[in-house]
Amino acid sequence: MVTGNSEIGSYQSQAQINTVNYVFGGAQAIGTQQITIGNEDLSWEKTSEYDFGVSFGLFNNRVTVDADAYLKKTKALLLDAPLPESSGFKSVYKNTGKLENKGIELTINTVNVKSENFSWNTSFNISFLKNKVLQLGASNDDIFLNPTFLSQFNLMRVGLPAGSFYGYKVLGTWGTSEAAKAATYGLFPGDLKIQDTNNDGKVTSADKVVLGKSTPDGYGTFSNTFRYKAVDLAVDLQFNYGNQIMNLTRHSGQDRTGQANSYATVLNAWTPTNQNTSIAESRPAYVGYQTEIYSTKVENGNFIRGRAVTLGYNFPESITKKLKLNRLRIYAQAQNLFVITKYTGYDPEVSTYNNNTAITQGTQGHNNTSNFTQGIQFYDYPKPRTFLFGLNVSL
Amino acid sequence: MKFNLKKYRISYSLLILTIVLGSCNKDLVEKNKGNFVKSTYFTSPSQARTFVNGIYQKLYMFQNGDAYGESPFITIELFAGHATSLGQSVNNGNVIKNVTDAVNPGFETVWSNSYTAISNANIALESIAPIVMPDADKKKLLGEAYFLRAFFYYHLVRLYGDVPLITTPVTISSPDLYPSRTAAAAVYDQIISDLKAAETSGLPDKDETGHVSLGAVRTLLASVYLTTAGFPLNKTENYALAAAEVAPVLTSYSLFTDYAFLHDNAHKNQTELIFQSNYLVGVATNAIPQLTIPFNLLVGAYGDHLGAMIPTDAFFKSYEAGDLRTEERQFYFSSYPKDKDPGTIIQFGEHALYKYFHVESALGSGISDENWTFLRLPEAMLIYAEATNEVSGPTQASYDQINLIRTRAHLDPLKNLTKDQFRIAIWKERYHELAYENKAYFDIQRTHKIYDVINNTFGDATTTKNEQNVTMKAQYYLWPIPQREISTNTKLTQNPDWN
Repeated sequence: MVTGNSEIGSYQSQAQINTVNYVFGGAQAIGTQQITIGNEDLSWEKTSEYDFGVSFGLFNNRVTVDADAYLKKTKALLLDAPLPESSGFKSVYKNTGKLENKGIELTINTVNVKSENFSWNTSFNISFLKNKVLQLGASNDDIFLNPTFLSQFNLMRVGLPAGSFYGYKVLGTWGTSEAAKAATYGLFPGDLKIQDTNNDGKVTSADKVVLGKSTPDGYGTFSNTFRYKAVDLAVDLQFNYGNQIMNLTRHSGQDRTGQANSYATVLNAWTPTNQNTSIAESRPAYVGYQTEIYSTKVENGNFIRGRAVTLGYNFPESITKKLKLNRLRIYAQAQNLFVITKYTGYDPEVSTYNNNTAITQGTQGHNNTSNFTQGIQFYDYPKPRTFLFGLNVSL
Repeated sequence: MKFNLKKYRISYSLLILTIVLGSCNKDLVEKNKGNFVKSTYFTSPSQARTFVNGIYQKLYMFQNGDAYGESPFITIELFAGHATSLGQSVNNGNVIKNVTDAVNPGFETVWSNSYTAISNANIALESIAPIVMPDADKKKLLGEAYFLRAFFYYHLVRLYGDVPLITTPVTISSPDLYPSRTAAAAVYDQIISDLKAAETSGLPDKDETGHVSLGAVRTLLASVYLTTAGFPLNKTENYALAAAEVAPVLTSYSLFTDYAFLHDNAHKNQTELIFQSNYLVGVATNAIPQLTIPFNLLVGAYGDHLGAMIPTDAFFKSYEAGDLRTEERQFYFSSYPKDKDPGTIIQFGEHALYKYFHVESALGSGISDENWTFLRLPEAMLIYAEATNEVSGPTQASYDQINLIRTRAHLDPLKNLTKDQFRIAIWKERYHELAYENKAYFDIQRTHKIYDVINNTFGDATTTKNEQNVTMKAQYYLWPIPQREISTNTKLTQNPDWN
């Protein structure tokens, strides 16, 4: 089956003209600028999809299994491809590249115990997925997607998953015994030691490496429902593994650029007696700190979340009849009760940073977040833990 | 337990269909009624005017920036070595220390915005020509577009050296989409040709509303001639052209009687101000005062006090004794009443730039709409004096010009100098009068000299230590081509030593 992509903005093929403001003679003057280069050759994305599914039940359907495998290949992938800015435009929406998505989705439902007074049901589902860029443009050159912060770090590269993180690998800090070597990079003991990948004696953007990917290897839910007489309990867990999170808050929170409070991790900063650390020495702000897209900003995104735990009680018929009700149930629910994760930010399900909403006033102008750039955290809000008490009434 | 497959069911779906969506029609035409599109724009004189206004809007890029203090007007100044930058910007510190690199976002801001302006100027020049409108009006509009294109190319060619020279609108299929670099000499030829076109387009001598005037065209062209007479082109015959070009400007403008008029709201675009970008609260504002007041001291009703461009003490002390400009609240200030507590006087412990302080917003809303000055009369006067001196040594007319500036500063007039002494005197006056106005770095580029403020002399730019203990690397005569541009266009090469 071949399908398209309906998530395409309007008028993307046209050279659009937008209004801006200027001032003449102490009064507003409307101006216009051409803001998109226009691409009349724009066509639909073409995705061909192969599915294979199996579902079966065992033991009188006490165990049911649904398994689905898919392979999707997208041709004429629509991307906001970067342009040389000498054109007057930053990017053009165009058909460029091929992408492959494949995966397995598995759902197992079991009835573990089923008796008059007690029942226990389990539902487990897991999705394994892999995505890979197969081709980009005519020459397979890397493409960087928005948002951009510090430098371009959302990499599309043939052979890698879409939305890979790209930056410098931090090897630690320069030690006092390495002062001479550090000096060849213009640095001092206590400065960050960045991997000189190409060994040319300089740290430049050519030394950047792939630091992680935003898409997980797998995710799913594990739900158990128990009922004992009139009491029911549902425990709903959610899990996710294999992805990384770009924790940009560490830019100001750990790199100490002088503009925000720091993470407690800076207590482990380099000192002559604490040299085995990846946190640069603490210095007055005017001396300056290194800050870039570092491997130390990339974190493991695995988690298990207690998404919802619900405890309910169904009032017996003797009471509901008196009240002329069909059913009466009270329940208490805790949402987002716990998260087990090594991620150090507020929540591993991050809301992806978009330059539009952040501190920048448009210096860099890389505003649109792409569909492929996920898992980027920058001063996000914590996810609330919610407690609900409810009453279900059926007449 | 043994498996009981009594209830066994298998269903499968295997779908391999290859039907191209029938609804996709290549000739599908979207009519965009909500927005303007280029193909249907440029039908009326008012649209022509509006589109040219849009090019001016890119002048704001010099104040683009954020709480880091990385505005281009600061980045350009830090390359001259006479400012410190406290606060938050790692990139600013790296520029001061000569250890920055091609990913510094300031380099991309200037590149990107300049080319956006040029792209819109190219579109204007091509698309306004066929519009039916009075010839004189059309000529003036095109003159403004020529000036603005030249203005942005002039910044590009000085900052980046050889740059792609694009003079027609770029489309997705044009060869200019992935251009190579054009030799700086050819870029300068284009700039001069554009400014000559602007010069004969019927623009008024002066314009107090902020539009391009003939005075602005002449001053900019004179600056181009002076620059091309120096490094790297060394077309010394252009000194005479610079002097001749700027001479008429000297009589159509006059100096303010008060330095405060340079940065207040009442005197925008007037008297000695030749070309500014114009701001207005509610339309377009900037952070010039926030960026230039001392770091974290409560000066003015501003939310930020960024200290991103503070003169070095040594530079401040390089003025002659008795220079009015160094007196409190002339060009500089070192104390100010605390915001909302005027009884408390804040002592800065350093000299900040009063020439960028905006009293109206400091005592008012904390939102600045002071104008940014690109060209003002003293620069024209000093171009005239310098160019004339190079051609024929000190003349009375050139003494008159520099002495007008000195007299306003309560300094004795200059006289009886040799050609070399006069040249040095003019250079110093450029530093002192046009201090922190984005002139110094360009002077270093064209003269290969830096102002050694400690010894009050000019030294070779790449062997003389500045007051911040930095000796400029030859690499720093140019900015790097922004890394993003190099990554996106493989035809580009990087400037020397920036790799």
